[in-house]
Amino acid sequence: MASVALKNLYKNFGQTTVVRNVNVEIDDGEFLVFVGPSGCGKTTTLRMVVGLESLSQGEIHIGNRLVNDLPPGDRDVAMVFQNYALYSHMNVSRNLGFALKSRGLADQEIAKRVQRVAKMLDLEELLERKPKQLSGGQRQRVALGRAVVRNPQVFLMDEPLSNLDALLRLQTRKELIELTTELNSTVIYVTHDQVEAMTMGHRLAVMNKGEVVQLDPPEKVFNEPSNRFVAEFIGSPPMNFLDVEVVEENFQKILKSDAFDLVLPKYWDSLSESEAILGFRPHDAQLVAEGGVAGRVTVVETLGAEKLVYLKVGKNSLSILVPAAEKIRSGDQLRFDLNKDALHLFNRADEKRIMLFKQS
Amino acid sequence: MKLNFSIFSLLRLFVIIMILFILLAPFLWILLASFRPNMELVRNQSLIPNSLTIENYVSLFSKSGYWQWIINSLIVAIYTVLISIPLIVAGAYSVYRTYFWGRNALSLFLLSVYIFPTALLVVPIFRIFNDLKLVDSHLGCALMNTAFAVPFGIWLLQAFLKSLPPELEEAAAVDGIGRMRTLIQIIIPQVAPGIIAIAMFAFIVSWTEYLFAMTLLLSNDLHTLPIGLTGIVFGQYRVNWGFAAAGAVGSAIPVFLLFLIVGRWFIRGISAGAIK
Amino acid sequence: MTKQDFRSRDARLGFLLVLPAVVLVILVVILPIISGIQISFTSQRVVGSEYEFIGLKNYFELFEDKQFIASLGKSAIWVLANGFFQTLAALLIALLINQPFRGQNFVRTWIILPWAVPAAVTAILWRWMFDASSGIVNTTMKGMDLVQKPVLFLANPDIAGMSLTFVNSWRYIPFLTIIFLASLASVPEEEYEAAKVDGATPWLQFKSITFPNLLPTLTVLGLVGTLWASNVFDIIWMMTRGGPGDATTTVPVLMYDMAFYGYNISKATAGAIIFLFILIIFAFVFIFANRKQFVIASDTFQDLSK
Ligand SMILES: Nc1ncnc2c1ncn2[C@@H]1O[C@H](COP(=O)(O)OP(=O)(O)O)[C@@H](O)[C@H]1O
Ligand SMILES: [Mg+2]
Repeated sequence: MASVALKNLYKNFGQTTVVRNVNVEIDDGEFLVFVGPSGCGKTTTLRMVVGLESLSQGEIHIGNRLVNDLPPGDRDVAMVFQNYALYSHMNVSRNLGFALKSRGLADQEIAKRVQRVAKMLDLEELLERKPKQLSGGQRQRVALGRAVVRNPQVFLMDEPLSNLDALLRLQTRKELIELTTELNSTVIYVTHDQVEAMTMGHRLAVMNKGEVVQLDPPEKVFNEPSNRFVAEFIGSPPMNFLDVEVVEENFQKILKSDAFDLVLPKYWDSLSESEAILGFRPHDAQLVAEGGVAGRVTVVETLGAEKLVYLKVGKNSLSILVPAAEKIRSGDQLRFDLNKDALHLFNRADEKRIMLFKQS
Repeated sequence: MKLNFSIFSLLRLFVIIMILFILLAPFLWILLASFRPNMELVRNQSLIPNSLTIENYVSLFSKSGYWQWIINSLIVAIYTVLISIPLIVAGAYSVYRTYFWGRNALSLFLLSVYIFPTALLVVPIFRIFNDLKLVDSHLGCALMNTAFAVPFGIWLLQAFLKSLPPELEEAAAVDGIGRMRTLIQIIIPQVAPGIIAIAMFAFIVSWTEYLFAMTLLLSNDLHTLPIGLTGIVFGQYRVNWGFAAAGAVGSAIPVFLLFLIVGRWFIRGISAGAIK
Repeated sequence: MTKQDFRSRDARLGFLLVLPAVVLVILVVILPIISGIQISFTSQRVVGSEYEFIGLKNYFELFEDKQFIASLGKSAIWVLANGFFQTLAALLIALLINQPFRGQNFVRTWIILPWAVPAAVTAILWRWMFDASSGIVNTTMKGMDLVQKPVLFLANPDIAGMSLTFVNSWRYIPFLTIIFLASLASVPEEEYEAAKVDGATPWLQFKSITFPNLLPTLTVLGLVGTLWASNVFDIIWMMTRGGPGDATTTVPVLMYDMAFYGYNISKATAGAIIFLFILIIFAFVFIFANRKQFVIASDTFQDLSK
């Protein structure tokens, strides 16, 4: 296994730049996830690493080799494609062994490796089958096995679970984590699914419009999103946003929206902005009998253990999570308090997170 | 509504049967004629034969060069198929699945073969093939046929080639498998039905070819079936219909057998969609 | 940065792979055309005879040759009747048998037979069918009292052209139909399902799904089919030899006759070059007018992934 360094990557297709200034260093044995909405350049980035796409600018190092000019086959990386790209005329065993065979490995060695991988991925019973005779999950495992059998420096995976149905996806996700942990693999993984990203990645590289906007461990991305985009994209149900003014009264910073005022904790005292975007997650609100913020319920969605309540607060539409036992119907008037230690403030102009040192 | 619908489908069935009748009935009619004595064919205008005979086939099989022509036609057709397939597969792969500047123009250039007024340029072709020592050789004839089978054959393969996901080649490239090896071991097996189809196409192009065979095959013992057949049928002042019918049947049977065995592959091999 | 991706590395391989086909086409098409142009400037009358350079004389003669001008007209009608009619008929037939019905597979396999037999067989078949005294077509029509006198399908100058067009169409429509069928099968099923959910009428489905998907095929067949039709020689030659009189003498027939029976190779070749020139102009105009359909793949990745 090896580390990977992406330095200053750019990719232009004609006039449009689809990957812009990507700088990511992936440690040996790390599971790094590129996550972002569809069309943000994740696949293109991955394809540059693997060598299927040329770089417009920048450098890619795998281990300590600069691989910019190496063809894909010489980079010693393996890729799992979204549609698996299995060779449909070969059985599972030949699919697994084909790359090794064309590299001139001895038949015995190939058989040994194929056996080992088949055992690891529970494919032993299926070795004689053609891809057509496999279920979606089995095909996925063959695609994975084809990568594992090569024992590459780095695994690259482009939405490998997105063609599976929900239940199978959960199960395969777990297996994939176990497998890569066991092999201590370096993995670069691409997905648009933030839950997948949060559960699998050691670190996330959140992408938007061709740029990596945050590169952090999942908890940090969740707790301290670097900008409004990340805050909105990561976490479900998504964060609420509303425009607020910041005023100072009695040596306290107060957020004023069109419908309510909110006194900020002490550690926000050094806040210098006079206006901001307030963000809070739906589960950071609790119902209260009086005081707090008042709103009128528009829609109620039952999610199981909880209910998601949409409210009109002044001009803003917000949502909060409440215990399922609460009897709430649309049209009701509600009051709720916000967890003041879980507030996020973003700059109005560039929507970047407003960072202050918390004095704990 | 329901009634309308069934009237419509009845009508459709009727039209289909009519079309099928027009296309295939002549074959049955000529088959029947081939078993009737020539004199009866000329005189008797009834549809039902008075007497049947195999005399026409006896003279076709034993008094004409039929077997020789069949063998010659097969030789030329097999040459044509064997040369066409690699050219078509390589050409189609190049045009539809590799990237180089001008491949669009190149594919159009190939289709330009069909601009060529074959009947009019046999003289220069004869000259050039004479210089290449390809006159009076089955190979020369097959080369001509190949040139006319390849461009359309390339186009025929496109649907099939385009239906393969690009990830196939990409996966192979990442696994370090060379491009030629990918073509031969991964792509070609996947387009096998398409290859059967273009093989049939090339075969038929060669089997039905008349003009080049007539121009380039001078010796009688090299003549192909169409040449031989036209010679015996239209060479005489009065057409011997019984004999001609037997000749026609004798020339259609190999094609009939071919389609009986691999016919259903033809349309399957030139379409990217699912044909059961 | 140098372009070093996987695709740009293809260029040489791609070029090498088409090269054999291109060389063959040059050998068999381009060289004979060049050689034909040379011959057309000479006075050669039979292969191997003495000749001298006479410049454009053959061409001037041809432009004053009424028979040649007439044959151009006949070729034009022939191409229109065959190229156009066949493509349209094949399209209709393909649409008709594309919907499932019992025996569909049989039809799809065997409909092609007329295309697959040598022209000589076709000629025998239809000369026999059309025969004035004992042909089935005439005897049936007489039996049904449709006609008093037998119709001279191939011997009546007013009808011979139509009869030949019919026979030639009988021969080529099956092949074109099969190609349309193949291309219909390639239309993604989901598009129809989506349209049905939206309640689109059959006509609207045809207009907005079937037709656009068929368009590339239609265009290529429009070009190639027209070229094929204009160069049809064997079937005319075997059925009427251009007769009766000059009734079915298209350019290929006239030129062949002039070269090998009129012993004037150079003049016939000049006629061929003129004809070729007309076809080239047609092809250019056609391709230019339909250039969007002829782009087989642009250089983007999406194109291939579609
Ligand atoms: N070969 C190409 N030519 C032009 N644009 C492309 C090409 N490949 C991708 N793109 C564009 O680049 C952007 C990023 O694509 P991609 O990396 O596939 O996004 P993601 O995988 O994040 O969904 C998209 O807008 C896409 O349309
Ligand atoms: Mg993607």
